[in-house]
Amino acid sequence: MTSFTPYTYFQCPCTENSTSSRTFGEDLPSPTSDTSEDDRTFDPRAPRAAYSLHPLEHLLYCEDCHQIRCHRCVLDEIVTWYCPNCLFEVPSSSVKSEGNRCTRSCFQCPVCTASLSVSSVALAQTGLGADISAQAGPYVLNCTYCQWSSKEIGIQLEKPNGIYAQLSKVKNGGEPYISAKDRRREDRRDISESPKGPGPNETLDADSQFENLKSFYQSQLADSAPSGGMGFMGGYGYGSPGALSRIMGLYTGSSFGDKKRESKNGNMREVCDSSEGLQLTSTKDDQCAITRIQRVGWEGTASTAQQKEQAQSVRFMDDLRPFSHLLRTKRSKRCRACRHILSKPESKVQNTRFRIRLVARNYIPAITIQPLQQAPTSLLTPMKPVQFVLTVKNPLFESVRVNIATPASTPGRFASKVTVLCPQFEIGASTDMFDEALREGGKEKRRTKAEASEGQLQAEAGKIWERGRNWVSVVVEIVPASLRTDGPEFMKSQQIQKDDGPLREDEDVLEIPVFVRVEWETDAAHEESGGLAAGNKEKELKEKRELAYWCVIGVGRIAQD
Amino acid sequence: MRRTSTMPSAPKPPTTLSSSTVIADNASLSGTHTIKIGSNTAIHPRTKLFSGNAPITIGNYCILSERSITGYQSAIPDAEKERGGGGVVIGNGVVIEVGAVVEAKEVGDGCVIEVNARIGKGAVLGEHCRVSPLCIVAPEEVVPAYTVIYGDGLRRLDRSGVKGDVKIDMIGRQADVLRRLILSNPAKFQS
Ligand SMILES: [Zn+2]
Ligand SMILES: [Zn+2]
Ligand SMILES: [Zn+2]
Ligand SMILES: [Zn+2]
Repeated sequence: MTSFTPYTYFQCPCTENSTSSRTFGEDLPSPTSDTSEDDRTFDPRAPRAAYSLHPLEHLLYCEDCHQIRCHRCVLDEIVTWYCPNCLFEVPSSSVKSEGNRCTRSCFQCPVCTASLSVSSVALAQTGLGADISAQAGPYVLNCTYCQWSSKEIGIQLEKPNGIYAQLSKVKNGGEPYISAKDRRREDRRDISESPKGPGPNETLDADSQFENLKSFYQSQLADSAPSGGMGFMGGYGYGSPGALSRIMGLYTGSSFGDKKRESKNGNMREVCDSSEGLQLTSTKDDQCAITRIQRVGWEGTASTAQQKEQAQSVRFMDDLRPFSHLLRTKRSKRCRACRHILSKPESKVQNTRFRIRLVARNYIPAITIQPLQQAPTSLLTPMKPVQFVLTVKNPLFESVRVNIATPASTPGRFASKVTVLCPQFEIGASTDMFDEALREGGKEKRRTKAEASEGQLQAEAGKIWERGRNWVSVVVEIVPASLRTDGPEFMKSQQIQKDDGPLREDEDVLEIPVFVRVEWETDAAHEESGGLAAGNKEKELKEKRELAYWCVIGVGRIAQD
Repeated sequence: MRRTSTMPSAPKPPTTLSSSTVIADNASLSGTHTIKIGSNTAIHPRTKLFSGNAPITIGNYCILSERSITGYQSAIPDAEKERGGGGVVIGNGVVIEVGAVVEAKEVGDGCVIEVNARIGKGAVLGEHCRVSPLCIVAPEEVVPAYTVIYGDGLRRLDRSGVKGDVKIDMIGRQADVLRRLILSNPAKFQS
């Protein structure tokens, strides 16, 4: 039987906002006092719930909106681009011009994606040792994990650095790579010798084909666009000079600056030879591929994972090329509502610290659940009441009042009954650990599990089970539902009468939706600034704060009987 | 803390060691069948060779690292015995890394068996195979020469053209270094 770890997921309020309604004339509801939502029970099994539930560790907290923020309600801003292999910080301008891969010497193995290292061919022939570290000679890229070597695709390099530039100039097999443009330039030079030049059916590599197609269609668009010359981006936007001249043409009734268009209209044509990027496919290519696969066999073909990493479509191991590392980013996160920064990493790549990091852990109480008695099995027995200890831990420097509400029975087809024995309690502030140790010398003895099982201390309704410096635990009694869908009709719940299909995936997991309301008082002054703060100080008022949210507690799996 | 056994040590297995074998004082050779170790082979401290079920033959220029276990761990079937099963035969220039378990019938020249890899009982590795860390070769499996076993049981043929003699030369140099580092005590194992 698979083990089950109890979990607590918190609901980010951003998903609620889209459904909540507000009556006309009402004040903009402050995000913390959403009374309209209180009467609706959150259903953790609803399809939408999967998008709004997060572990506490994944959540941020906006100090200005006083609200939980998840990855969906923050704005990401890229602080730095860097290569994960050489940790070189890549300026964003070069990311725009050269793409999102490292252009230094960081390459990944096309077979297993491990990082490749450069080694001299000559080095391998003389063996280990520092005396030969100054070896010159052709270099190869080696994978130290799967032993792939660029020798396998016939590539050797002259220099041990600047691999990116060197690789881009060589084809698999060792032939130099010449783009179609360069070739044409060379052909033009010796045009006297070969009067034909490149034929119309010249085969192009993917890069040159794209280049040709792009330049062809750009020129076509430039020619056919009204008033010409505006090219590609001239487009049909109303603000463009092209559109303006068209409108002028409408009013004046004349061909205002439009002669060119009329003459050119309808001249937009498609590519018709290789210089324009046309590549004809022929059955010969397929035939080639088939004979090749017969020759190299299964071993010689690239797996889909390997093909996916390649820039061009590649089928055989011989065509694989090393690929450079994808760049990564460091991002800062802003609140979508108020644009304040919630998380900002140090921009230096090597520095893993954060300048700002408002994680929800430091603002909202953490909730954990544990069985009160150690159960013999990890499964919950249907219809047999079990008691769990729900522990709420306060991270704030003020003591808080917590209100916990659960529906009497869990939503879904199999409704388990839930009772929180003490739904209202106060938790002490998260003060210094040593303060407490000095203040009370173990005045309150902790209850142990053993005592509980001996029955010396029964969980009483309305009483806190256990209390610590900044945490409180209360007992929750649960009667797990039976997972049976058969049986007499009158025994069935309404949901099962409607739908008595077989048990779905994870339907046996007992999840309790819990509505948590936290109230506390804080010094208003130190949070506000400027004139407002001065006003508050005069009154010496404490500001009341309230935070309410849904969370879901996964308790365990119910046994199937 | 060093634990010294007061028990009389188990009978030593019959061994044939070359004069140039480097064998650490606290390597463990046990069993009843013959253990034959070739020249210039280095056996690290705490390497285990167990010949209780079948003999072990190790070639020249091999390196056996610490905590690696070589030899059949369970009895070989009678049918195998009748066929004259020679136990574990390891070729020349083989590197067995830390914690690897080798129960192969045959390990070809120049093979590398990486950290914590396992070669199942009776498997046959061809020449210059490489078994990556934590990879497993099933019992009785026959692995062709130049195979690289990596990842989650993935296989590929290394076609980069390994030069066998170069590799063995390199291992020879490594064995020379180890000769200076390992306190060799072949006499302890000779009977
Ligand atoms: Zn959110
Ligand atoms: Zn890099
Ligand atoms: Zn690799
Ligand atoms: Zn905000």
